[in-house]
Amino acid sequence: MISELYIDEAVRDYPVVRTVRERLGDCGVTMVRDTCSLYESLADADDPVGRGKRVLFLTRNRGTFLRKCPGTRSYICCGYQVLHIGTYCTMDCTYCILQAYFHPPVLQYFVNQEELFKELDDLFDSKTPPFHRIGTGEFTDSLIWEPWTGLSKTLVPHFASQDRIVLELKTKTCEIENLRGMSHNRKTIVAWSLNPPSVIQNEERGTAGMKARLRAAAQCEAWGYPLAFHFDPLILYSGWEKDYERLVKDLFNAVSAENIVWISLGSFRFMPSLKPIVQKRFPRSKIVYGEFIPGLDGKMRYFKPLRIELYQRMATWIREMAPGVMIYFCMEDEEVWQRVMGFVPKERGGLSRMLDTSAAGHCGLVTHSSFPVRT
Amino acid sequence: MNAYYEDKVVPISKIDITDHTFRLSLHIDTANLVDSIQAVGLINPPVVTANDNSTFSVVCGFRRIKACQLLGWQEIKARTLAGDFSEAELLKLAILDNRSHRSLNIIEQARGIQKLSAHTAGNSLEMLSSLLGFPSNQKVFHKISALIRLPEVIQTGVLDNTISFEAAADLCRLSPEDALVFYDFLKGFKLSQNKQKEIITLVEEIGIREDLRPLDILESKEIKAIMDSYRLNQNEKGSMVRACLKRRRFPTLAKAQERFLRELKALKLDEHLHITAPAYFEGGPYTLRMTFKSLKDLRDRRRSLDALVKDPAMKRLLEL
Repeated sequence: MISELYIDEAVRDYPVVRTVRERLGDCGVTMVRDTCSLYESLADADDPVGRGKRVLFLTRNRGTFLRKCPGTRSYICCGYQVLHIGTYCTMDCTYCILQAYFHPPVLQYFVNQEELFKELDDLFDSKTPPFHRIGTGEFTDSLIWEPWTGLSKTLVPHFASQDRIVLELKTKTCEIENLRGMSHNRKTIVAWSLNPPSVIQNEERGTAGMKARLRAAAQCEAWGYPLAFHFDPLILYSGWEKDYERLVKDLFNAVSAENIVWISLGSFRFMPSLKPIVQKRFPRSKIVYGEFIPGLDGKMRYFKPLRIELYQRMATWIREMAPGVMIYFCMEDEEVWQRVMGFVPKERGGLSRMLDTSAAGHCGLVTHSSFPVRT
Repeated sequence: MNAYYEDKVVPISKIDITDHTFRLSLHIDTANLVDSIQAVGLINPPVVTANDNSTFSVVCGFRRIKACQLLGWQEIKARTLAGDFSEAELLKLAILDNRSHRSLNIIEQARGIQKLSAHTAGNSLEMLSSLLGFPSNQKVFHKISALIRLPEVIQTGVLDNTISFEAAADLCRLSPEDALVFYDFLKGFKLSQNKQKEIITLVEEIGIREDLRPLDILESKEIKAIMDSYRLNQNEKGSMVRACLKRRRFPTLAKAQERFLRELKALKLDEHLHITAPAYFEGGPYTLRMTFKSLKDLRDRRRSLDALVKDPAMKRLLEL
């Protein structure tokens, strides 16, 4: 857990800072005037990636809070928007790209939230395009911050106050207590990344177990929240078929298919710079020794026939349990879509439109513009 | 450090040449030096430091002393250090003496780093790189300093180019036993640095994935068959070993490549048409290259292309 708290001198009097300090208790606190020197000292640690998980830096977001998801042109992107609440993660997944993405990787939480809500309000007031899907789980886990910040207590009601935009909270934790009793108006989708227990045990250190995640999902469903699931990263290993088939069954035994807004499938992919980090930090992990080839975006991916087989099996198992559920691929090309799903997204208005439509149906989104909602 | 010397004639039997505290070189090669000293005498006396037990340790000049010993000298003129010097200071003196007339080789640099680090904590990278003569770069420093962990036979192999520095640096992350397995295997070939590294990486990754030791992989039936073949020369063996390891490391990709080549062969393209698959079959375009010299050629190519479009092998090739 957090052992050192650094506070940007410029934000010391923000209310969120007081809250986090109170909740972290005995944690050593250091005021920071020169952010660069803090980054340099963190980068110089023996294991900067590991240390960054125990150091929390409260600061302001100097850029925009709402950003486009960093997709690439070579593969089909879902058109998601990222709400940039903070960076990095306390959990320690072998495959986590954030280990190589930030320099240095450090837990940062942005406390200038009046600007965050101002950007959201501007978006709520805008008229086009009709719908947006926004998530906080791109550069961090959405719910790890709950014990110290309680962010969802303000974020969820804020989204509940409008009917064109959904918030997706994506997590591998069970930090759902703050979601209890909230007026969410079904505009917040609670989502879990799923992997079989053996993958969680070997590759997802510090995360909640599979059953605990599904229990938390069922609880959120009972509280009326729409749900989503991400089988991402899917990992190939000896015996994966049995494990993933079991996982799909467990999922649909835990929650109702009708309450699932979408399920994404994404096979393990990584920037080449991640490999030496995994080799050094997790020498027993076999995860980077699959049949990876450089993809069109420069990331390493499983050789395409392997990905297609993986997706075909997953899609079949999911369809058997939930024929109507929206399944999509995270960053795949038209060939994969065609071979697995039998169509390509542009035949149905594009992936963004497909996901918007599913969100509209499950979350009660309504259009106020001339954009028709395709159903 | 200001070193003061006293030139003395010292009995060679009193010089402890088994004390390697200040020795940087892996081997003491006296071949040329013996002839030189025999011809013109000892021009530059070695530097020694007196021990408590009236013996001397060598600071600079192991080769010179050894050569004189081989020539049957009983005594040698030596520069004896006067004063109280730390081991670190004497090490620096030994390094500077060596560097005054030549560059240190990579193993001497590695030994220099090891010896200095043992005596003085917090040696900066800049200080070490300037003293020992390697680029001031953290990655290079780590690679060089790790070489010292390798068995001496591999260190020698680095010096005589049996194994490249970069490939040897890769072996440093293995146990000495596994490093020796690789070294014994690689020394039979004359492979480039990249090919040596490729073999190490492939074997290492197959080993991790399949829970096997490098020895198990390098002595597998397929590799042994290549190595024992009388019909293949060393270059051919090297290529076949790499191909065999790649097939094992990337079996599905290898099968797809084989199928592509099979279908390509079935197309029976003439020498004017060439088809190249997209990289790793990931989704980029296939490339068709065509050559012609005249309109007649071009008409012939068009007919060939029309036939190609209708050929079932072409369809199969595109469905890979």
